[in-house]
Amino acid sequence: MSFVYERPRTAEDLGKLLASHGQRACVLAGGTDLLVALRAGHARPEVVADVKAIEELRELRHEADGRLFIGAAVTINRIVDDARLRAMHGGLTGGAGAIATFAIRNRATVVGNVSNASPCADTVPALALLGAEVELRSATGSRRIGLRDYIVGVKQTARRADEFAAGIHVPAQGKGTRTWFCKRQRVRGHDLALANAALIHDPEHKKLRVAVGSCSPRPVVVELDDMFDKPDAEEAAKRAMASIAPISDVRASAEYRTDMTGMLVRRLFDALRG
Amino acid sequence: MEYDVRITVNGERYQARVPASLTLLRMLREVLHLTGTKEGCSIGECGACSVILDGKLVNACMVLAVECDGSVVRTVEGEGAMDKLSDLQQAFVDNHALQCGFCTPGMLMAARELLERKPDPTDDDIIEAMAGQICRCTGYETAIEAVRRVARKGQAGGGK
Ligand SMILES: Cc1cc2nc3c(=O)[nH]c(=O)nc-3n(C[C@H](O)[C@H](O)[C@H](O)COP(=O)(O)OP(=O)(O)OC[C@H]3O[C@@H](n4cnc5c(N)ncnc54)[C@H](O)[C@@H]3O)c2cc1C
Ligand code: FES
Ligand code: FES
Repeated sequence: MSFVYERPRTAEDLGKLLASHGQRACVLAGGTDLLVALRAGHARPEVVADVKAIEELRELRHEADGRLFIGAAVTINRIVDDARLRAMHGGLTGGAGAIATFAIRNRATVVGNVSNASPCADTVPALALLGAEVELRSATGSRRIGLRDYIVGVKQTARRADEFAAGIHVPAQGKGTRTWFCKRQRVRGHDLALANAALIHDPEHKKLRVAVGSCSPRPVVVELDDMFDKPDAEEAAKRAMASIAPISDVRASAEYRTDMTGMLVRRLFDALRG
Repeated sequence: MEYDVRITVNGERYQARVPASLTLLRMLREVLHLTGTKEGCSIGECGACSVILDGKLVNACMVLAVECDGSVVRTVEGEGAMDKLSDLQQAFVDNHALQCGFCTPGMLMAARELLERKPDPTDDDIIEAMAGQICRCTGYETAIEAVRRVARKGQAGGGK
Protein backbone atom coordinates (compact mmCIF):
# COMPACT_ATOMS: atom_id res chain seq x y z
CA MET A 1 0.00 0.00 0.00
CA SER A 2 1.78 3.09 -1.24
CA PHE A 3 0.19 6.39 -2.12
CA VAL A 4 0.79 10.10 -2.28
CA TYR A 5 -0.81 12.15 0.50
CA GLU A 6 -2.11 15.56 -0.49
CA ARG A 7 -3.42 18.19 1.87
CA PRO A 8 -4.83 20.99 -0.30
CA ARG A 9 -5.54 24.31 1.41
CA THR A 10 -8.36 25.41 -0.85
CA ALA A 11 -11.33 23.81 -2.52
CA GLU A 12 -9.91 24.94 -5.87
CA ASP A 13 -6.72 22.97 -5.26
CA LEU A 14 -8.71 19.90 -4.29
CA GLY A 15 -10.72 20.27 -7.51
CA LYS A 16 -7.50 20.44 -9.53
CA LEU A 17 -6.08 17.37 -7.82
CA LEU A 18 -9.18 15.36 -8.63
CA ALA A 19 -9.24 16.70 -12.18
CA SER A 20 -5.79 15.25 -12.80
CA HIS A 21 -6.02 12.03 -10.77
CA GLY A 22 -9.73 11.16 -10.97
CA GLN A 23 -10.29 7.44 -10.44
CA ARG A 24 -6.82 7.00 -8.98
CA ALA A 25 -7.58 9.36 -6.08
CA CYS A 26 -9.54 8.91 -2.84
CA VAL A 27 -10.95 11.77 -0.82
CA LEU A 28 -10.05 11.51 2.87
CA ALA A 29 -12.14 13.11 5.60
CA GLY A 30 -12.03 11.48 9.06
CA GLY A 31 -10.66 8.28 7.61
CA THR A 32 -12.73 6.00 9.85
CA ASP A 33 -14.07 4.15 6.82
CA LEU A 34 -11.23 4.82 4.41
CA LEU A 35 -8.41 3.59 6.65
CA VAL A 36 -10.23 0.32 7.18
CA ALA A 37 -10.68 -0.02 3.39
CA LEU A 38 -7.01 0.83 2.76
CA ARG A 39 -5.84 -1.70 5.30
CA ALA A 40 -8.06 -4.41 3.83
CA GLY A 41 -6.92 -3.56 0.29
CA HIS A 42 -10.46 -2.67 -0.76
CA ALA A 43 -9.24 0.79 -1.71
CA ARG A 44 -5.95 1.07 -3.64
CA PRO A 45 -5.56 4.76 -4.44
CA GLU A 46 -2.46 6.36 -5.88
CA VAL A 47 -3.39 9.68 -4.29
CA VAL A 48 -5.20 10.37 -1.02
CA ALA A 49 -6.60 13.91 -0.88
CA ASP A 50 -7.36 15.16 2.63
CA VAL A 51 -10.19 17.72 2.98
CA LYS A 52 -9.38 18.72 6.57
CA ALA A 53 -7.06 21.65 5.85
CA ILE A 54 -9.65 23.44 3.71
CA GLU A 55 -10.98 26.15 5.99
CA GLU A 56 -14.19 26.68 4.04
CA LEU A 57 -15.15 23.01 4.43
CA ARG A 58 -14.89 23.18 8.21
CA GLU A 59 -17.93 25.37 8.38
CA LEU A 60 -21.12 24.37 10.22
CA ARG A 61 -23.40 27.27 9.34
CA HIS A 62 -26.87 28.11 10.62
CA GLU A 63 -28.57 30.64 8.37
CA ALA A 64 -31.03 33.12 9.86
CA ASP A 65 -33.87 31.56 7.86
CA GLY A 66 -33.25 28.08 9.31
CA ARG A 67 -31.17 26.63 6.50
CA LEU A 68 -28.11 24.69 7.48
CA PHE A 69 -24.77 23.94 5.82
CA ILE A 70 -22.56 21.11 7.03
CA GLY A 71 -19.10 21.34 5.44
CA ALA A 72 -17.16 18.25 4.41
CA ALA A 73 -14.73 18.53 7.33
CA VAL A 74 -17.39 18.88 10.06
CA THR A 75 -17.06 16.00 12.50
CA ILE A 76 -19.89 13.93 13.91
CA ASN A 77 -19.15 15.19 17.43
CA ARG A 78 -19.51 18.81 16.30
CA ILE A 79 -23.04 17.93 15.21
CA VAL A 80 -23.78 16.06 18.43
CA ASP A 81 -22.50 18.98 20.54
CA ASP A 82 -24.38 21.71 18.67
CA ALA A 83 -27.17 22.74 21.04
CA ARG A 84 -29.15 24.53 18.32
CA LEU A 85 -29.05 21.50 16.10
CA ARG A 86 -30.11 19.25 18.96
CA ALA A 87 -33.15 21.39 19.58
CA MET A 88 -34.04 21.66 15.87
CA HIS A 89 -33.10 18.31 14.38
CA GLY A 90 -33.16 15.66 17.11
CA GLY A 91 -33.26 12.95 14.46
CA LEU A 92 -29.97 14.12 12.98
CA THR A 93 -28.09 14.65 16.24
CA GLY A 94 -29.60 11.40 17.54
CA GLY A 95 -28.38 9.50 14.50
CA ALA A 96 -24.96 11.15 14.72
CA GLY A 97 -24.69 10.32 18.43
CA ALA A 98 -25.49 6.67 17.71
CA ILE A 99 -22.39 6.29 15.55
CA ALA A 100 -19.57 4.20 16.93
CA THR A 101 -17.69 5.54 19.96
CA PHE A 102 -16.70 8.98 21.20
CA ALA A 103 -13.15 8.66 19.80
CA ILE A 104 -14.41 7.64 16.35
CA ARG A 105 -16.94 10.48 16.37
CA ASN A 106 -14.10 12.95 17.01
CA ARG A 107 -12.72 12.07 13.56
CA ALA A 108 -15.68 10.82 11.54
CA THR A 109 -17.54 13.40 9.45
CA VAL A 110 -21.17 13.67 8.38
CA VAL A 111 -20.20 14.03 4.73
CA GLY A 112 -17.96 10.94 5.04
CA ASN A 113 -20.84 9.03 6.61
CA VAL A 114 -23.07 9.89 3.67
CA SER A 115 -20.35 9.51 1.00
CA ASN A 116 -19.37 6.08 2.24
CA ALA A 117 -22.86 5.07 1.05
CA SER A 118 -23.28 2.26 3.53
CA PRO A 119 -26.93 1.31 3.95
CA CYS A 120 -26.47 1.45 7.73
CA ALA A 121 -25.11 5.02 7.86
CA ASP A 122 -26.80 6.57 10.87
CA THR A 123 -27.04 10.20 9.71
CA VAL A 124 -28.73 9.26 6.44
CA PRO A 125 -32.34 8.57 7.56
CA ALA A 126 -32.80 12.01 9.16
CA LEU A 127 -30.97 13.82 6.34
CA ALA A 128 -33.19 12.06 3.80
CA LEU A 129 -36.31 13.23 5.66
CA LEU A 130 -35.04 16.79 5.95
CA GLY A 131 -34.61 17.02 2.17
CA ALA A 132 -30.84 17.41 2.39
CA GLU A 133 -28.81 18.08 -0.74
CA VAL A 134 -25.17 17.27 -1.35
CA GLU A 135 -23.06 19.99 -2.98
CA LEU A 136 -20.63 18.45 -5.45
CA ARG A 137 -17.76 20.54 -6.74
CA SER A 138 -15.09 20.08 -9.36
CA ALA A 139 -12.49 22.24 -11.04
CA THR A 140 -15.10 23.25 -13.59
CA GLY A 141 -18.22 23.91 -11.53
CA SER A 142 -20.59 22.81 -8.84
CA ARG A 143 -23.98 21.13 -8.65
CA ARG A 144 -26.44 20.13 -5.98
CA ILE A 145 -28.06 16.76 -5.84
CA GLY A 146 -30.68 15.36 -3.47
CA LEU A 147 -29.27 12.98 -0.87
CA ARG A 148 -31.42 10.15 -2.12
CA ASP A 149 -30.03 10.60 -5.62
CA TYR A 150 -26.47 10.93 -4.31
CA ILE A 151 -26.57 7.46 -2.79
CA VAL A 152 -27.11 5.24 -5.82
CA GLY A 153 -26.33 1.88 -4.24
CA VAL A 154 -24.28 0.08 -1.62
CA LYS A 155 -20.95 1.93 -1.44
CA GLN A 156 -21.84 3.86 -4.60
CA THR A 157 -22.55 7.54 -5.02
CA ALA A 158 -23.42 9.72 -8.01
CA ARG A 159 -20.13 11.60 -7.57
CA ARG A 160 -17.97 11.79 -10.70
CA ALA A 161 -14.31 10.95 -10.17
CA ASP A 162 -13.31 14.59 -10.66
CA GLU A 163 -15.80 15.83 -8.04
CA PHE A 164 -15.81 16.05 -4.26
CA ALA A 165 -18.64 16.69 -1.85
CA ALA A 166 -18.14 20.20 -0.43
CA GLY A 167 -20.93 19.80 2.08
CA ILE A 168 -24.56 19.12 2.82
CA HIS A 169 -27.33 21.71 2.58
CA VAL A 170 -30.40 21.22 4.74
CA PRO A 171 -33.35 23.43 3.78
CA ALA A 172 -35.41 25.37 6.31
CA GLN A 173 -38.20 23.22 7.72
CA GLY A 174 -41.86 23.99 8.37
CA LYS A 175 -42.65 25.71 11.65
CA GLY A 176 -42.57 23.33 14.62
CA THR A 177 -40.93 20.49 12.69
CA ARG A 178 -39.39 17.76 14.80
CA THR A 179 -37.39 14.66 13.95
CA TRP A 180 -36.47 11.52 15.89
CA PHE A 181 -34.00 8.67 15.34
CA CYS A 182 -34.01 5.07 16.52
CA LYS A 183 -31.48 2.27 16.00
CA ARG A 184 -31.33 -1.44 16.60
CA GLN A 185 -27.84 -2.85 17.18
CA ARG A 186 -26.32 -5.60 19.26
CA VAL A 187 -23.84 -3.63 21.35
CA ARG A 188 -23.86 0.13 21.66
CA GLY A 189 -20.71 1.69 20.29
CA HIS A 190 -19.54 -1.54 18.72
CA ASP A 191 -22.02 -2.34 16.06
CA LEU A 192 -23.37 -1.00 12.89
CA ALA A 193 -27.13 -0.78 12.76
CA LEU A 194 -29.12 -3.94 12.05
CA ALA A 195 -31.91 -1.52 11.36
CA ASN A 196 -32.24 2.23 11.87
CA ALA A 197 -35.02 4.69 11.21
CA ALA A 198 -36.02 8.32 11.62
CA LEU A 199 -39.34 10.14 11.78
CA ILE A 200 -40.28 13.67 10.75
CA HIS A 201 -43.36 15.56 11.94
CA ASP A 202 -43.99 18.91 10.26
CA PRO A 203 -47.23 20.50 11.48
CA GLU A 204 -47.01 23.44 9.08
CA HIS A 205 -47.09 21.25 5.97
CA LYS A 206 -48.87 18.31 7.66
CA LYS A 207 -45.94 16.12 6.76
CA LEU A 208 -45.41 12.78 8.49
CA ARG A 209 -42.71 10.51 7.13
CA VAL A 210 -40.43 7.70 8.16
CA ALA A 211 -37.03 6.91 6.67
CA VAL A 212 -35.61 3.43 7.07
CA GLY A 213 -31.92 2.57 6.78
CA SER A 214 -29.91 -0.67 6.76
CA CYS A 215 -32.66 -2.51 4.95
CA SER A 216 -32.20 -1.45 1.33
CA PRO A 217 -29.28 -0.34 -0.83
CA ARG A 218 -30.65 3.20 -0.81
CA PRO A 219 -32.48 5.04 1.96
CA VAL A 220 -36.22 4.42 1.86
CA VAL A 221 -38.70 7.17 2.73
CA VAL A 222 -42.24 6.13 3.58
CA GLU A 223 -44.85 8.89 3.22
CA LEU A 224 -47.50 8.87 5.91
CA ASP A 225 -48.92 12.34 5.31
CA ASP A 226 -52.40 10.84 4.92
CA MET A 227 -52.39 9.79 8.57
CA PHE A 228 -51.05 13.14 9.83
CA ASP A 229 -54.21 13.92 11.78
CA LYS A 230 -54.58 10.35 13.03
CA PRO A 231 -51.16 8.70 13.34
CA ASP A 232 -51.50 4.93 13.33
CA ALA A 233 -48.30 3.22 14.48
CA GLU A 234 -49.38 -0.27 13.42
CA GLU A 235 -50.31 0.84 9.92
CA ALA A 236 -47.10 2.90 9.63
CA ALA A 237 -45.00 -0.09 10.73
CA LYS A 238 -46.76 -2.28 8.17
CA ARG A 239 -46.11 0.19 5.36
CA ALA A 240 -42.47 0.60 6.32
CA MET A 241 -41.97 -3.18 6.43
CA ALA A 242 -43.54 -3.46 2.97
CA SER A 243 -41.23 -0.81 1.44
CA ILE A 244 -37.87 -2.31 2.37
CA ALA A 245 -35.76 -5.00 0.73
CA PRO A 246 -33.46 -6.18 3.50
CA ILE A 247 -30.71 -8.72 2.98
CA SER A 248 -29.56 -11.55 5.20
CA ASP A 249 -25.92 -11.29 6.17
CA VAL A 250 -23.53 -12.06 9.00
CA ARG A 251 -25.23 -9.54 11.26
CA ALA A 252 -28.90 -10.41 10.85
CA SER A 253 -31.42 -12.21 8.69
CA ALA A 254 -33.81 -10.39 6.39
CA GLU A 255 -36.77 -11.53 8.50
CA TYR A 256 -35.19 -10.14 11.65
CA ARG A 257 -34.41 -6.82 9.97
CA THR A 258 -37.99 -6.57 8.75
CA ASP A 259 -39.37 -7.23 12.23
CA MET A 260 -36.95 -4.74 13.76
CA THR A 261 -37.98 -2.08 11.24
CA GLY A 262 -41.57 -2.49 12.39
CA MET A 263 -40.46 -2.27 16.01
CA LEU A 264 -38.41 0.91 15.34
CA VAL A 265 -41.34 2.59 13.60
CA ARG A 266 -43.62 1.78 16.55
CA ARG A 267 -41.00 3.24 18.91
CA LEU A 268 -40.70 6.38 16.82
CA PHE A 269 -44.46 6.80 17.04
CA ASP A 270 -44.21 6.38 20.83
CA ALA A 271 -41.69 9.25 20.81
CA LEU A 272 -44.03 11.32 18.63
CA ARG A 273 -46.86 10.88 21.12
CA GLY A 274 -44.38 12.03 23.79
CA MET B 1 5.81 8.43 -0.92
CA GLU B 2 7.59 9.35 2.30
CA TYR B 3 6.97 12.46 4.34
CA ASP B 4 8.67 14.35 7.14
CA VAL B 5 6.42 14.48 10.16
CA ARG B 6 7.14 16.80 13.05
CA ILE B 7 5.19 15.87 16.11
CA THR B 8 5.22 16.66 19.82
CA VAL B 9 4.54 13.66 22.03
CA ASN B 10 4.17 14.19 25.77
CA GLY B 11 6.02 17.47 25.49
CA GLU B 12 8.95 16.09 23.51
CA ARG B 13 9.54 17.01 19.90
CA TYR B 14 10.18 14.33 17.34
CA GLN B 15 10.78 14.31 13.64
CA ALA B 16 10.47 11.22 11.51
CA ARG B 17 10.32 10.27 7.85
CA VAL B 18 7.40 7.96 7.25
CA PRO B 19 5.44 6.49 4.34
CA ALA B 20 1.99 8.00 3.74
CA SER B 21 0.29 4.73 4.65
CA LEU B 22 1.82 4.52 8.15
CA THR B 23 -0.72 5.06 10.91
CA LEU B 24 -0.09 7.30 13.90
CA LEU B 25 -0.21 4.12 16.00
CA ARG B 26 2.57 2.45 14.02
CA MET B 27 4.64 5.63 14.08
CA LEU B 28 4.36 5.89 17.85
CA ARG B 29 5.26 2.25 18.41
CA GLU B 30 7.66 1.35 15.64
CA VAL B 31 9.33 4.63 14.73
CA LEU B 32 9.34 6.58 17.99
CA HIS B 33 9.49 3.39 20.08
CA LEU B 34 6.75 4.60 22.41
CA THR B 35 5.19 1.19 22.91
CA GLY B 36 2.86 2.12 25.76
CA THR B 37 0.07 2.64 23.25
CA LYS B 38 -1.22 -0.79 22.23
CA GLU B 39 -2.37 -2.28 18.96
CA GLY B 40 -5.37 -4.53 19.34
CA CYS B 41 -7.58 -4.60 16.26
CA SER B 42 -6.15 -1.85 13.99
CA ILE B 43 -9.64 -1.10 12.71
CA GLY B 44 -11.07 1.30 15.26
CA GLU B 45 -12.95 -1.22 17.34
CA CYS B 46 -11.03 -1.97 20.53
CA GLY B 47 -9.71 1.36 21.85
CA ALA B 48 -6.31 -0.06 22.88
CA CYS B 49 -4.64 2.58 20.71
CA SER B 50 -6.50 5.59 22.17
CA VAL B 51 -4.37 8.74 22.44
CA ILE B 52 -5.12 12.43 22.82
CA LEU B 53 -4.41 14.21 19.52
CA ASP B 54 -4.55 18.01 19.68
CA GLY B 55 -6.81 17.76 22.71
CA LYS B 56 -9.18 15.16 21.27
CA LEU B 57 -9.42 11.46 22.03
CA VAL B 58 -8.78 9.44 18.89
CA ASN B 59 -7.97 5.88 17.89
CA ALA B 60 -4.36 6.16 16.71
CA CYS B 61 -4.96 3.27 14.29
CA MET B 62 -7.56 5.40 12.49
CA VAL B 63 -5.20 8.32 11.80
CA LEU B 64 -2.34 8.54 9.30
CA ALA B 65 0.95 9.78 10.71
CA VAL B 66 1.23 12.32 7.87
CA GLU B 67 -2.04 13.87 9.02
CA CYS B 68 -0.34 14.69 12.34
CA ASP B 69 2.47 16.91 11.08
CA GLY B 70 2.62 19.79 13.56
CA SER B 71 0.33 18.07 16.05
CA VAL B 72 0.55 17.56 19.78
CA VAL B 73 -0.07 14.04 21.05
CA ARG B 74 -0.43 12.66 24.54
CA THR B 75 0.05 8.99 25.27
CA VAL B 76 0.14 6.84 28.38
CA GLU B 77 3.89 7.51 28.73
CA GLY B 78 2.90 11.06 29.73
CA GLU B 79 0.65 9.92 32.56
CA GLY B 80 3.19 9.10 35.20
CA ALA B 81 6.42 7.28 35.92
CA MET B 82 7.14 4.01 37.72
CA ASP B 83 8.01 5.85 40.91
CA LYS B 84 5.28 8.43 40.55
CA LEU B 85 2.00 7.18 39.17
CA SER B 86 -0.67 9.63 38.07
CA ASP B 87 -3.88 9.84 40.09
CA LEU B 88 -5.68 7.72 37.50
CA GLN B 89 -2.94 5.10 37.36
CA GLN B 90 -2.93 4.85 41.17
CA ALA B 91 -6.72 4.57 41.23
CA PHE B 92 -6.60 1.78 38.62
CA VAL B 93 -4.10 -0.10 40.81
CA ASP B 94 -6.05 0.50 44.02
CA ASN B 95 -9.34 -0.62 42.44
CA HIS B 96 -7.99 -3.72 40.67
CA ALA B 97 -9.03 -2.10 37.39
CA LEU B 98 -6.52 -4.11 35.39
CA GLN B 99 -5.44 -7.69 35.05
CA CYS B 100 -3.39 -8.27 31.90
CA GLY B 101 -3.16 -4.51 31.40
CA PHE B 102 -3.42 -4.53 27.61
CA CYS B 103 -6.43 -2.21 27.55
CA THR B 104 -5.12 0.02 30.34
CA PRO B 105 -3.18 2.62 28.31
CA GLY B 106 -6.27 3.26 26.18
CA MET B 107 -8.54 3.29 29.23
CA LEU B 108 -6.30 5.83 30.95
CA MET B 109 -6.26 8.17 27.97
CA ALA B 110 -10.04 7.97 27.57
CA ALA B 111 -10.48 8.67 31.27
CA ARG B 112 -7.93 11.50 31.25
CA GLU B 113 -9.62 13.21 28.30
CA LEU B 114 -13.01 12.86 30.00
CA LEU B 115 -11.82 14.36 33.30
CA GLU B 116 -10.28 17.32 31.50
CA ARG B 117 -13.45 17.91 29.49
CA LYS B 118 -15.84 17.19 32.35
CA PRO B 119 -14.13 17.36 35.75
CA ASP B 120 -17.33 16.27 37.46
CA PRO B 121 -18.69 13.49 35.24
CA THR B 122 -21.89 11.55 35.92
CA ASP B 123 -21.80 7.76 35.77
CA ASP B 124 -23.37 7.96 32.33
CA ASP B 125 -20.61 10.31 31.19
CA ILE B 126 -17.99 7.85 32.42
CA ILE B 127 -19.67 4.90 30.72
CA GLU B 128 -20.07 6.84 27.46
CA ALA B 129 -16.43 7.92 27.53
CA MET B 130 -15.12 4.42 28.29
CA ALA B 131 -17.49 2.62 25.91
CA GLY B 132 -14.84 2.41 23.20
CA GLN B 133 -12.32 0.66 25.43
CA ILE B 134 -12.68 -3.09 25.20
CA CYS B 135 -11.40 -5.10 28.15
CA ARG B 136 -11.29 -8.89 28.08
CA CYS B 137 -10.34 -9.26 31.75
CA THR B 138 -11.96 -7.00 34.28
CA GLY B 139 -15.61 -6.59 33.38
CA TYR B 140 -15.31 -2.77 33.38
CA GLU B 141 -16.89 -2.07 36.78
CA THR B 142 -13.54 -1.65 38.51
CA ALA B 143 -12.25 0.75 35.85
CA ILE B 144 -15.41 2.82 36.04
CA GLU B 145 -15.07 2.91 39.82
CA ALA B 146 -11.44 4.04 39.50
CA VAL B 147 -12.44 6.96 37.28
CA ARG B 148 -15.34 7.78 39.57
CA ARG B 149 -13.00 7.95 42.58
CA VAL B 150 -10.52 10.27 40.91
CA ALA B 151 -13.38 12.51 39.79
CA ARG B 152 -14.88 12.59 43.31
CA LYS B 153 -11.53 13.60 44.74
CA GLY B 154 -11.63 16.42 42.23
CA GLN B 155 -7.91 16.35 41.77
CA ALA B 156 -7.66 15.24 38.19
CA GLY B 157 -4.28 16.09 36.77
CA GLY B 158 -1.45 13.95 35.51
CA GLY B 159 1.38 12.82 37.77
CA LYS B 160 3.88 14.43 35.48
C1 LIG C 1 -15.37 0.95 14.89
C2 LIG C 1 -16.27 1.67 13.93
C3 LIG C 1 -17.61 1.78 14.23
C4 LIG C 1 -18.47 2.44 13.35
N1 LIG C 1 -19.78 2.55 13.69
C5 LIG C 1 -20.63 3.23 12.87
C6 LIG C 1 -22.00 3.38 13.22
O1 LIG C 1 -22.44 2.92 14.27
N2 LIG C 1 -22.82 4.05 12.36
C7 LIG C 1 -22.36 4.58 11.18
O2 LIG C 1 -23.15 5.17 10.46
N3 LIG C 1 -21.05 4.45 10.82
C8 LIG C 1 -20.20 3.79 11.64
N4 LIG C 1 -18.87 3.65 11.27
C9 LIG C 1 -18.42 4.14 9.97
C10 LIG C 1 -17.78 5.52 9.92
O3 LIG C 1 -17.26 5.89 11.17
C11 LIG C 1 -18.77 6.58 9.45
O4 LIG C 1 -19.33 6.22 8.22
C12 LIG C 1 -18.08 7.96 9.33
O5 LIG C 1 -19.06 8.96 9.41
C13 LIG C 1 -17.28 8.13 8.06
O6 LIG C 1 -16.77 9.46 8.02
P1 LIG C 1 -15.23 9.76 7.79
O7 LIG C 1 -15.08 11.22 7.80
O8 LIG C 1 -14.40 9.00 8.73
O9 LIG C 1 -15.08 9.18 6.32
P2 LIG C 1 -13.79 8.70 5.45
O10 LIG C 1 -13.35 7.40 5.98
O11 LIG C 1 -12.79 9.80 5.44
O12 LIG C 1 -14.49 8.58 4.07
C14 LIG C 1 -15.52 7.63 3.84
C15 LIG C 1 -15.78 7.49 2.33
O13 LIG C 1 -16.34 8.67 1.80
C16 LIG C 1 -15.46 9.28 0.86
N5 LIG C 1 -15.47 10.72 1.16
C17 LIG C 1 -15.24 11.29 2.37
N6 LIG C 1 -15.39 12.63 2.27
C18 LIG C 1 -15.70 12.90 0.98
C19 LIG C 1 -15.97 14.11 0.26
N7 LIG C 1 -15.92 15.30 0.87
N8 LIG C 1 -16.26 14.02 -1.05
C20 LIG C 1 -16.30 12.81 -1.66
N9 LIG C 1 -16.05 11.64 -1.04
C21 LIG C 1 -15.76 11.68 0.27
C22 LIG C 1 -14.11 8.64 1.07
O14 LIG C 1 -13.34 8.61 -0.10
C23 LIG C 1 -14.50 7.26 1.53
O15 LIG C 1 -14.83 6.44 0.44
C24 LIG C 1 -17.98 3.00 12.14
C25 LIG C 1 -16.61 2.89 11.85
C26 LIG C 1 -15.76 2.24 12.73
C27 LIG C 1 -14.30 2.15 12.40
S1 FES D 1 -6.05 -0.87 17.67
FE1 FES D 1 -7.04 1.00 17.30
S2 FES D 1 -9.03 0.66 18.00
FE2 FES D 1 -8.12 -1.32 18.13
S1 FES E 1 -7.05 -5.81 31.73
FE1 FES E 1 -6.82 -7.33 30.21
S2 FES E 1 -7.90 -6.44 28.57
FE2 FES E 1 -8.38 -5.13 30.15
